[in-house]
Amino acid sequence: MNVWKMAAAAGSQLIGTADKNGDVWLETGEVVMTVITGITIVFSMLVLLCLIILIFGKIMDAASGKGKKEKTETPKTAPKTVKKEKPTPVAEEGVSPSVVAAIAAAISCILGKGKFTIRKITRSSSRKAWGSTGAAENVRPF
Amino acid sequence: MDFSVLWQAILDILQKSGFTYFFTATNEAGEYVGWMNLVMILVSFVLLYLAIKKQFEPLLLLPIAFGMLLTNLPNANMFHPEVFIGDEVHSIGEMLNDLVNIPGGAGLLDYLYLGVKLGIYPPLIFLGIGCMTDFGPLISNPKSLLLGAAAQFGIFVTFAGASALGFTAQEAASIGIIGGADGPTAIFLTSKLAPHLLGAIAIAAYSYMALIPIIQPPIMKVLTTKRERQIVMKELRQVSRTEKIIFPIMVTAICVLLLPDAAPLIGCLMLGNLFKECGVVDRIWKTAQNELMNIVTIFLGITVGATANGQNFLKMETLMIVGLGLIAFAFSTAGGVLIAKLMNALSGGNSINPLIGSAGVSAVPMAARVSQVVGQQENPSNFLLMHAMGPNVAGVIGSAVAAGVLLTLFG
Repeated sequence: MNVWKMAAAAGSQLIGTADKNGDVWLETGEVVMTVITGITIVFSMLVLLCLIILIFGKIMDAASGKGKKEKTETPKTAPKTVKKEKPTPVAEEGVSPSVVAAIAAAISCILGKGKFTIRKITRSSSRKAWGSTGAAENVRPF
Repeated sequence: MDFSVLWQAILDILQKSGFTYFFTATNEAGEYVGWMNLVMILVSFVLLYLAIKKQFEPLLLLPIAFGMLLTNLPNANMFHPEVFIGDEVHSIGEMLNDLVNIPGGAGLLDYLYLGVKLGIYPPLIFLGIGCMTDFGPLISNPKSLLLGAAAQFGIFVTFAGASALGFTAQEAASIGIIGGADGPTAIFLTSKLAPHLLGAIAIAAYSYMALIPIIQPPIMKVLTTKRERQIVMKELRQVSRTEKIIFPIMVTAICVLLLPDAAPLIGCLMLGNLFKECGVVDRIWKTAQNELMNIVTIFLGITVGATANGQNFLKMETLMIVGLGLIAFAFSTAGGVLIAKLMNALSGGNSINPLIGSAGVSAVPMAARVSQVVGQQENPSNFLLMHAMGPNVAGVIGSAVAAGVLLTLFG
């Protein structure tokens, strides 16, 4: 439905001048008004959506927060079954011997022939090199 | 032996051939127009080269270019633009009547074009896009919607520019929508408001979308400081499946209640997304994003290309549309970046990387990828991709809303 044709038929138009083919011609002031109206409506619509999603997110967070609390209480009563592994001399606690072996193998591959000694293996506090490489690999195809 | 019959037959074939048309055809005013088809065929060759060799949006540019080739081959009679595109507004009934009465019968592309004219193909493409879109980053950071809105700025700036250059309001709105960087939306709106510009607008929109990695980075760099480009954003929160299921239903209800003209685009986009997120309709989800979308893409591309026949396309206004389209892209990019800068300044100056603002133009995922690449040039350990996907998908909603506004005003 062409609102301009309807408006023209009714003898009143919202904005601009419509010719017999239904083409609308706008004066400068009317163009400015259309631009302001358009930007305002698009922003209002998306701001409204933004607010609704924010509120909705808070509600969902609150709902899932309750669930989490209930869940976190249960492990306290559970018996400790995890065995404490002996830390290897060079690696910090939490780095398993298999990880140490993998690191040693990787270093050996890079250095080639000859002996080497690993003095210390610690976790880096910043983004991990392997993590960065993995993320880079994953975003490259996009 | 009388060779005159053979000679006459050869002459007949030559006279009826398209080759003769190129050098002799005239329009109703007696002007020589045969050269226009020849030029358009060469243009289609260039576009085919860009699609195949340079891979510029090949999934659409290739069928568009081939449609352009078919429509400009004289006497092929595959498409009759005069039925659909003219000064006078035709009802669908009149169009169907005209199609039936075409001497020699309507062409294949005439029938396929009805899907564009009736506004069927773009929403079906949106259905497929919805199936492939993850709104998680947007739900996780709803402020992205503001960037999606800001990146529609170019649409309205270009609307003003096109009006100043003497285009009608409907034509100006169709040219402006190129700034939304959303092909189906541009085709949807143009087919309703200014079908005679469809070929030029679709080609401009898809060409610029392919050129986003070249157009956007200089604008992004000019409008941001080095320090801003290095900002590392906080990790996004996890979004539950329930939220992802409720989101498309909620957005459809709100948008369509407020702006009914956006219903075909928003409705199909969100339906596709619901197929994806609900997890219980795997079969139709896969069909909508693969087979259906591919079929519609072929039909849409070839028929949009067919509208670009010589006499419609080779005009000064096509060059103006191409120029205005670039302005639309530039202003949309700038709008997104500037609002992201403002949001960053208001939230302490170190939490939002303004580079994600440019992703508010809805070319998914190309624009988000550009944010990622430009961000990594400044800080190789920075991963902006998921943060940029929020404004990117918000831009799809934003451009559909903008199209709805323009359709409400001038449709």
